[in-house]
Amino acid sequence: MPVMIPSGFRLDKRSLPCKLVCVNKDLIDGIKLSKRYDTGGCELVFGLMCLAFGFINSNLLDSSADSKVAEIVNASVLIGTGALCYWIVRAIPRYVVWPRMGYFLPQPTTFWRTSNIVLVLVIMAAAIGAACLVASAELKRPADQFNIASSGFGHEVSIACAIAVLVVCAASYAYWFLLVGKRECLWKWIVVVLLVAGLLAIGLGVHGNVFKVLAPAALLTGTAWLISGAATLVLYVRDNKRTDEVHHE
Amino acid sequence: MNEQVRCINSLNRIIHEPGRLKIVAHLAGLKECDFIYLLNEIGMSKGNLSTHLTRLEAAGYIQIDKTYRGKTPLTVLRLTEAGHAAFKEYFQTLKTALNQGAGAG
Repeated sequence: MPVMIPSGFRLDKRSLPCKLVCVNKDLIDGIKLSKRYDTGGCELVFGLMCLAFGFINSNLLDSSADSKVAEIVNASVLIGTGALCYWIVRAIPRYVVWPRMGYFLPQPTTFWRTSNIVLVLVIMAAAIGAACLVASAELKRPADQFNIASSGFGHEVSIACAIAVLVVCAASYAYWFLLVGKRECLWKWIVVVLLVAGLLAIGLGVHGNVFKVLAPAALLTGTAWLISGAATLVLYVRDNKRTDEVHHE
Repeated sequence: MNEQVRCINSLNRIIHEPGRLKIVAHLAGLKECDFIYLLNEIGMSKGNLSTHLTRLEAAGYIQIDKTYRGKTPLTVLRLTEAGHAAFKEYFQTLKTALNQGAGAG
C-alpha cells in the first residue's frame, strides 16, 4: 500500500528531514538534526537570569546602611550576569561542540512560528490581565493609599498572582522540556517534579503578597534550570568525544 | 506507463541516491557546516562522503570552501541556490508520485 503523506504538509527546512522517512528507511536513522546538540547552553543562560532576578528581588542588601551600595551591587549583578550569558552562548559552540562534532551554522528560523505566537499571546494576555487586576485593586483602595508594595493587594488577588507566578515558573521548564525536543532526556522529568514540589512549598510557606513569592520562586527556578543545564553539558561532554581523540584511536 | 511511474522516472537521479539525499537534506537545514560535522551526522566513510560531495559539486548543488580555523584545515560545505531549488523540486515530484499512488490505491 503506498505511503500517505499527511495533508497540509508544507515544505519547511526544519520539518522536511522528518517527513522524508517515507522515502528510504536509511533516512529514519540518518537524519537527526537537533537531538545530538543539546548542550544545555540555553538552560544555563535562563537559570543565571532567573537567579539574578531572584537575587535583586530578594532585597538581601536592604539592611545595608547605604542604599547606594545595594544599587551598585544589583547593577553589578545584572551586568555580570549579562556578560556571563553572552560568553556562554559563544563559548559552548566554540570550545565544546566544534571540537566534537565539527562546525555547523543553523539556518536562521523565523521567530513567528505558531507555538511562539501562541506563547506571546498567552504572555500578553497574562500581562494585561495582571495589569487589570492591579488597576482594579488600586481603584478600590482609599485615595491615601498609593503604595502597592507596602499596602499590598486584596488578599485573593495576591494569592491569585502568586499562584500565577509559581505556575509560570514550573510551566516554562515543562514547556522547554516537552516542546523543544528534550523528550529523550528522561531524567529531566525529575527536575520538573522537584521544581513543582519546591514551588508548591514556597506557595504554601510564604505568606503575604505576590512580591514575597517572586524572589524565592525565581531563585528556585533559576537553580533548577542551572543544574539542569550543567548536567546536560556534562553529559554532552561525556558522550561525545573530541574528533582528534577519535582519530588517534 | 501510468502517471505515478512517469513521476518517479522524472526524479532527479543525482539527489535521489540515498547517500546524496541524506547530504542534501542535511545541508538544506543549515547555512553551512564542515566536513567533520557531516561525517558524524551521515555516518558514511570519509571516502564515500567525499565521492558524493564531488558528484554534488559537479552538478552545482553544493559549494565547497577549503579554509583554516587557526592552524586546523576546515572544509566548509553549503547548498547552493541551485541545490535548494533542485531539492525542493525533487521533493515536490516525490510527493506528487506518492499522492498519485495513494489516490489510485
